[in-house]
Amino acid sequence: MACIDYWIFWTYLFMKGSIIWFVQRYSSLAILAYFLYIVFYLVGASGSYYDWVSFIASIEMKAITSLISILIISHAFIGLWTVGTDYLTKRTLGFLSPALSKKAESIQFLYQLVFILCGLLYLGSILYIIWKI
Amino acid sequence: MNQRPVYIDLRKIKLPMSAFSSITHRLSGMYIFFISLPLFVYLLFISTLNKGSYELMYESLQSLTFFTVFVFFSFSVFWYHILTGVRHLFMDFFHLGESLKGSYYSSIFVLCLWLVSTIGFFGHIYL
Repeated sequence: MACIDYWIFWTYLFMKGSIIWFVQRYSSLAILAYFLYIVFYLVGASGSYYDWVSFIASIEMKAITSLISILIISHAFIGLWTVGTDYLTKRTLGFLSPALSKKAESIQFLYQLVFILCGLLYLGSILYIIWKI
Repeated sequence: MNQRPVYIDLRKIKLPMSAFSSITHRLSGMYIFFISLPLFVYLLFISTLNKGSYELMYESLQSLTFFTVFVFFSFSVFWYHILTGVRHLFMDFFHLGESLKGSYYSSIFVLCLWLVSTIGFFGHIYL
C-alpha cells in the first residue's frame, strides 16, 4: 500500500505545470500532420506492395514514424492519466459504492500500470516492425 | 458522513452539447488507445510482412465483412477524436467558441461534419 501511495504522490508531482499541457496540444498537431500525410499518400498510391514498403521503409519515414509513435504514446499517457485522476478517485468512485471508494488508490494504480504497459508494448511493436522491414 | 445517499444515475443525466462533445472525446480516446491503436499496429505489421500478406489484406479490406466494418469503425472513432480535438484546440489556442452559444454550435457542427464525412466515405468505398 505504501508503495502505491508513493507512486501516486510522485506522478502528481511530475504531471503538473504547463509543460504537460503544451506537450499534449503540440503532440496532437504533429500526430494530425503525420496522419494527413499518410492519408494523402494512400489517396495517390498505386496499391502495389513494393511502392507501399519503399514508402514506409524509407529512412525518412522510419525516423518520422519512430518520433511520431513516441509522441502518440506521450499524448495518450497524458490523456489517460488525466481521465484516471478525474474519475478513479475516492470521491467519484464513492458515487458508485463506499467499498470501491476505499480501494480508489489501488484501482488508479492498476489502471496506470495497465496503460503504461500497453503503451510500452505498442511502442516496442511499432519500432520493431518499422526497423525490421 | 460517508454513508450519505448519493444520487448519480448516469442514464438520467442530460448533458449539454459541449459536455457531450468533451466526454465523447475522452471516450473515443480510450477506445483509440485500447482498440484502434493495436489494430493499426496489426495492420502495419500485416501490410509490411510480405507480399502475400499485403495482398490478402488489400483484398479483404475491399469487401464488406465484419472485420472491415470493425476496421472502418475504429478509423471513424479516430476521425471523431481528431475533429473534437481540433475543436478543443481552437478553444485552447485562439479562445474561439468558448461562449455558451459558441461551444453549443461548434459541437453540433463537429458532430454533423463527422456523421456526414463518415457516412459519405463509407458509401464511397463500399456501396
